[in-house]
Parts: sequence; C-alpha cells; structure tokens
Amino acid sequence: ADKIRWKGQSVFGISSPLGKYTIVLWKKYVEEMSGGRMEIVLHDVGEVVPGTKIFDAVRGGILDFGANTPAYQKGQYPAGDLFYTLPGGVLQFDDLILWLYAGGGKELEQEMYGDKVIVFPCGLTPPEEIWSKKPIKTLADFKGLKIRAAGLSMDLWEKLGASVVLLPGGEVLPSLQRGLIDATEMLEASYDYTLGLHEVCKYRFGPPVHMSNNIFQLLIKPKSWKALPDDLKIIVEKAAMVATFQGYADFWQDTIKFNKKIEKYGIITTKLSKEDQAKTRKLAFEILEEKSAQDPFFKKVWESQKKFIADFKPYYDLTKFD
Amino acid sequence: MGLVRIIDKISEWTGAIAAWLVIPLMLVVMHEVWARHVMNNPTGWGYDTCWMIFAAQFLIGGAYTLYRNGHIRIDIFYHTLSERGKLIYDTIISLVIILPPMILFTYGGVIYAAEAWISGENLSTTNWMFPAGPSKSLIPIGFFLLGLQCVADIIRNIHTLKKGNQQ
Amino acid sequence: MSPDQLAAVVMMGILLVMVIGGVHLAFALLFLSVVFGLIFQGDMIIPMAMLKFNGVMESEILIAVPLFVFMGTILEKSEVAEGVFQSLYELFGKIRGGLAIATVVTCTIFASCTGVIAATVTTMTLLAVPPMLKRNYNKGLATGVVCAGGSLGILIPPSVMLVMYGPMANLSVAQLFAAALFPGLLLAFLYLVYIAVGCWLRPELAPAIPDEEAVERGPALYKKAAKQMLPALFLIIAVLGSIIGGVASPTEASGVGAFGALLVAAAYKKLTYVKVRDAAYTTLIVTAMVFFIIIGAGIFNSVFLFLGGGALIKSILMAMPFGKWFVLSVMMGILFILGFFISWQGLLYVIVPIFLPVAISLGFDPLWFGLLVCLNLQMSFLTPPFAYAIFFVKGAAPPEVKTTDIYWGVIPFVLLQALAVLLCIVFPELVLWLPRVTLGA
Ligand code: NA
Ligand code: NA
Repeated sequence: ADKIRWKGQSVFGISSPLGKYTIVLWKKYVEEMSGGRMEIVLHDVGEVVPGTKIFDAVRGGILDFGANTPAYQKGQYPAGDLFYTLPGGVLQFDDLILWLYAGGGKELEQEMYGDKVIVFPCGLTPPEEIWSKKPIKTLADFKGLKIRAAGLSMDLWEKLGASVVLLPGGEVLPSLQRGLIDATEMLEASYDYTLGLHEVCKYRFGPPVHMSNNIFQLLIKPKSWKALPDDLKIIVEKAAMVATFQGYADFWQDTIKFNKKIEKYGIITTKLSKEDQAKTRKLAFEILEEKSAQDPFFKKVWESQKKFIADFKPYYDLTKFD
Repeated sequence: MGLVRIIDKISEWTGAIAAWLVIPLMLVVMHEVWARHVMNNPTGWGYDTCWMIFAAQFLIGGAYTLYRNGHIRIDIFYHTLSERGKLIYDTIISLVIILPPMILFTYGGVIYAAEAWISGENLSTTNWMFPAGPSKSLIPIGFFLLGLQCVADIIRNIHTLKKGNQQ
Repeated sequence: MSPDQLAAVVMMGILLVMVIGGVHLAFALLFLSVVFGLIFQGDMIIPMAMLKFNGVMESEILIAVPLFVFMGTILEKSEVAEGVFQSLYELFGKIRGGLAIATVVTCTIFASCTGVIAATVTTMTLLAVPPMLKRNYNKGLATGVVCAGGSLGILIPPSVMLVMYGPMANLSVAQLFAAALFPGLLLAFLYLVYIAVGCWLRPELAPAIPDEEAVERGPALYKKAAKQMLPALFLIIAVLGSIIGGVASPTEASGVGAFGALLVAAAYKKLTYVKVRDAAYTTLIVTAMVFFIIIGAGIFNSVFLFLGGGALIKSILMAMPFGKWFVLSVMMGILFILGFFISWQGLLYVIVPIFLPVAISLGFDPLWFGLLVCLNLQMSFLTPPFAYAIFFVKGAAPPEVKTTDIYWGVIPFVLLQALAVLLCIVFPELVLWLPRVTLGA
C-alpha cells in the first residue's frame, strides 16, 4: 500500500520543550507504531501559518494536522480554556487530565468543535511558577503589581488588584529588565531558566494561582482522518495519549534539573498561604460562574467539571496526604 | 478614460482616509499610556483598537501607495528602457503579476471575512471579545482597492500608448 | 531532490529574476506565492494567505512602525530635523563626515530602544538622508550609513532576532542580550572609524562646511545651535529614554513620540495643516510599502518551506566535509551567501537546527556561536538583491537616490560587518565577557 503522508505544523518551536515533549513525540510514535506506513511532515511554528492560526488552517484543510492551544481561539470558543487549564487551582493538572480522558472531557472537547476538526488531547506540561522582581508573600502584595498575563487568569489578577499588561512572549524579558512589568508567568522551571527570567527577577512564588498547567491539542482535518484505515486511526489517537504521558514525564526531568539550577542561583522562593490559596480558588469559581453566564457551552463544560469535582473530591481528600 | 478618473478619485479618497488614520492611532496609543501609567487602569479595548487601526491604515492605503508609485522596485534594469518600453513593461506587470493575485485575495478575503461575520466569532487576541468581522473585512477591501487601481493603471497605460501610436 | 523541492528552488530563482527585472518586490512575492501555491497546494493557498495576512495585522509590536515614521516625517516636513542637522553641520565645522557620524550615533541609540528594523531604517532615512544629500554628501555614503546604522537594532538589545534565537538554541535570552551588546557597539565604532577615515582620505564623499557658510563661531554659534537642536533632541531623548528607563514600551513611546513631534513643530511655529497632511500621506506610503513587503515575504516563506525548500537546504549542508575551523568558516560562508537571497527569518529556521549541533559537537561555545550567527544574519539586511534595509531606504529616500547608489554605498559596511565577525572569532571575549561578568554565565 502507498505510504500515507500528513503535513502539519507545531504551535510552538519544535526544538523548544513545548514542541519536543509534545507533537514531536507524537510524530515519532505514529511513524514507529505504524511501521513506516505513515509519514508525518512536521513544520515548525510560523513556517506555514502563524501559530495563532493553526485551528483555522486545519479546519480550512491547509494542514492535515496541527498542534494547538485553545487559548488562541478564545474568541471563537470561549470554553476552550476549560480544556487547557483553569485558574486558582480549580482542577489541577492531574485532576483535569482524569476528567479529560474518562470524565467526559474529551467528548465535550470534540462536541465544541463539531465536525470542523477532530481533536485529541496531546501534550501536558509540568506546573508553572510565577516570577517577580518584588517579594510576594501574601495576596496583599499583588496590589498595583504590574504583571504580564493572558487568558482566564487576566480576570483573576485584576480581581486581586494587580495591573495586567498584555505582552507578546518576546517582549517579556526586555520589559522585565526595564521595569515595564514587575512580574510574569511564563512556563515551568526549565523554560523559564532558558529564557533567563532568573537573571532579571529575584523572586518566584507558587502555587501557580493563574493556571495549573497546559494541556495542548492535536487537531486533525476531518477529510484526512476519514481517509485513514481503522488501525492507523487507533495508532494516531493512542500515539497522542502516549506522547502526552511520556512527554509529561520527560518534561518533568527537565523541570527537576533546572529547578536545582534556579535554587542554586539563589532565587528567593515563596509560597502563598493556604488561606490565600483558598481565596484565589474562591475568586476563580466566581470568574468561572461569570463566564458561564455569558456562554452556554462554557456553562455546559463547567457544569461537567463541577460535577466531576464533587464526585472526585471525597475520595481524593480521603487518600491525599496534607 | 472616465473610469480611470473615477478609480483615481477612489484611491485618493481611500488614501486620505488611510493617511489620516495615523492621528486616531496616535491618540489611542496616547490614551493607553495615560490610562496605564498615570491612572494605573489600562483599558480592555486599547490593544485591539490599535492594531485594527494600523491594519486598516496599511491595507486600505495599499491602493493609494500604488497610485503614487510608492511600492518599491529595483530600477537598474527598468531605467534602461525607453519611455514607451517602460509603459509596455508596466502594463504587462500590472496585468500579469499584480492583478491576478489581487482578484484571488479579494475573493478569498470575502469568504474569510464572511465566515467571521456569519459565525459571529470574536477576536482571540485579548479578553475584549470584539467581533472579528470588521478587521477581517479589511483584507478583501484592501485587495479590492489595489486591484481597482491596477485596472486604472492598465487602462491609462494602454491609452497613452495608443495616443503615441496616432502621433 | 523531490519535485516539490525543485519547485522551491525554481520559485526562489524566479523571484530573483523578477526583482532584478524591476517588478515591485511586494507584488513579485505575492504573485509567486499564488502561482506556486496553486500548482503545488491547490486552492488552499488562498485561505493560507488570509491566515498569514491576519497574523501580520494582529502583531502589536509592528504598530511602532507607522508612529515612528510619523514622528520622523513631522520632524522632517516641519524642517525641525533639517535645523538639527544644520546645527550639527556647523558644529562639526571642519570635521568631514560629521552628519554621517551623527547619524550613526542616533541609529545606535535608536537601536537600543527597539528591535524593529523597519522602524529604525525608515525613520532615519526620512530624518538624515535629505540633510546629507543637501550638503552634497555622496549618495552611497548617505544611504549606506542609514542601512548599516539602522540594522544595528537587530543586534543591539532588545532584538527580535535574539529573542527568537534563544529558545531555538536553548540559550538564555538575557545572556544573548548581554553577549550582543559589545559586538553591536563594536560595529557602531567600526562604522564611525570608517566614516572619519574614509572622509578624511576622500573629502568629496562628505564635504566639510565651506568657509563662506562658517560665519558664526564661538558663543553665537552655540546659542543658535542650542535653539535649533534642544527641543528636538529633548524629544528624542525623552522618547528613547522612556523606553530604556522602563516607563514605556516601544509602541507606547512611538505614540508619545509622534505627539511630541507635533508639539516641537508647533513650538518652532512650523506646524501647519499642510505639513501635518503631507506627513500623514508620507507615513501612509512608507507604511503600506513596508507592510506589503512583510505580508508578501511572509506568504512566500510559507510556500517555500511548505514545498520543502528548508529541508533541501538542510540536506545540502549535511553533506559538508569536516574539520573544526574549516567547518566554522564554511558555515559562516554559507550563511553569508544565503543571506543575499533569503530573509533572516528563513535563515534562522533553516540554520539553527542544523548548525548548532555541529558547532557544539566541535566544542564551540554555544553562546559565542549564537552571536556569530546573529552577526552574520545582520549582514543579510544589507546584501542585495534580497536586503530589507536597502528596500526600506529606497522606499523612504528622495527619488534622486538610485538603487545602484545604495548598492555601492553598503559595500564598505558589509565588509566592516564581516570584519566584526572575524574579530569576534579571534577575540571571543568580545562576546563572552559581559554575560560572564554581569550574569555569571
Ligand atoms: Na535593538
Ligand atoms: Na540579503
């Protein structure tokens, strides 16, 4: 049989950890598991279409597949954020992935896009930290703090009294250096260290009240999907799942390694108190309820998540060490 | 030549609109600076408004720029041509190279913008949630105006060439 | 080579022929993208182009371009810039090339404020080229200085290129910024030395002030110069200082700068409706010219890479022979030559993933190597036929400037850039000292 050749694009640089522990792994697994029956041509971000336009490119049939983050379509699909990350520690990464794979999440994610694209979760990052040039010990320290943020967390920061600045990723470091912003969220330890955040910020803190983690997507053009034989369909889907978990574990190794470097560098690390964490969680619930009132599908997904939290929490609390 | 005059007028008018857009662009940026640095309360709309004005400026202004011969080209070879040769050469470039992509981009842009209007999709750049239709419509408008100006240039060149033949 | 890759090569070849043949760069790029896209990708090319265009429209960082250009044109049309350069001309007196020196210094300051080359090059062309031509500066020198000085912004931090390079090569952007500072200043210094020496050896390049014009001396001259220069200088220092000092982002500063230019023009009683209108129209033409090139190059790059042109270049490079310093010179040579034809973004996508592992396995310091790559890519702004700096200068300069003038004008500066690469190879501390001292790298 002829080799099946798919062309697609990453949403992040393929040599950065966001690429190499997500979509690059998926490519590798699909090619290996299919015994060479499928060839995946993976373009780097921006090569074919801008990273922010992957969804449109797959929907429009320009690409057979694309790695994506729903944050780039929040105007079209406000509920997309719920499949990606939630603020205030509502459904942390390990819980969100359980809901996504078995609690009705991935079905809702497909429902959101209808027949426009096929979607599978693909790619999971270790949890984030937050960097600051000023010491942050309590929520009161957020008052007037100029922070770079994006997505659902913007509302949360504003509720906490911070002044949110929208900046493209490339502007973050120079802006911190010059003092245009005091603080930023970026990613986990290895990525942040590589960017050099430790060289301009003296402090970092946790937990990541703005978002827990990032779960990315594999989008597939429906026509290319339908043309696949059934066994390859299974391979494409399962390869995404394996890439998610293997990539997550590999990514953590980087996080661990670079966290040591950050500690050795002498960055002052603080953590918000339990009471403060509970406050941000409460604010996050408020924000999610507000958004639900604006968009019916957002409400539907959020209700599903709330039900999952309610069902999940008793046994989780019983078994979790505090 | 009536058509040519009408098209030139259209380019002049749209050019005037696009040119003066720099003033609101400046004022919106100034307002953002004021709101952020002095009032410590940035607006939700400033960021998107800025890039939409700026996109309108260069897309709508493309036709006027063509009319004023502002799109740059390397003149080493071009300068060796006679006046008549230049006219013929320009006509071929306009007809074969410039016009066809403009038609396709106008067509594609109408579809692209129509999708946004019909689905009622919003911008994803910030949390402002402004409709995406207006900014996407700038693409077909800009390329349509460019294509129109290109047609005017072709007619004008052919007319001048004919006049030259008669003399 | 697959048929698609062959097509990518042919597409690049036709682009060169068309550009040299006098087709508008922006339209040649759009035309070839459509033709090759339709043949090899089918009608998908049109929606793909829409996504690319929309991506450029939404890029907030580029808004600084029209506003800086507007600031420049207001200062130019209101003759404020002319006054500043006239004063500099008189102050420099018998020192030849004084205006060119002032241009390089201004460019260097501008470079430390923004990494957007289009903004620096077009603004400086509007401000500095007409005054230099008016004083009979050689056209090549006048435009070459702006091309070279304006491109410093891609090296002197902040720089878009370094921000892109960091994550691709696993290098800290903060370290790259620190590492790029001295090479950037070294380049500016080389330009200054060249201008001073060159104009001393060949006085016709940049005539010094004639005796009959140099009537005023001493306090009278200084007083007049202060009156002509201080408001505009104050504006430029305020705009650039607010960026460096962290008060404003480049986009914000560009808006304030444009408004400030209006105020300065008003202070000199030179602000009229006609001048503002002319400035607005010039801004429009320069902006549209620049952005149609940017969107054209964007879609052209996409088609080229989609056809596998990038992969082809990779495979050619992989077949190169080995030997540490030889490989380094081959890599630098390839970058230099490809830089004539491909934009720096294209080079960055192709080169970094290929060259970097090779360089590291040969034992070169990745930070140092990264800076060599970036220094080298800076030359691609000046090397024709595909040279952004030349295009932008040509588009914003007075019509009497011919493309060939600029070509001749950039040659010495390209040679100086090559010299800088060589100096950084011979003296790696130029690159590595600052990041080690400040960041403990
Ligand atoms: Na710069
Ligand atoms: Na070049």
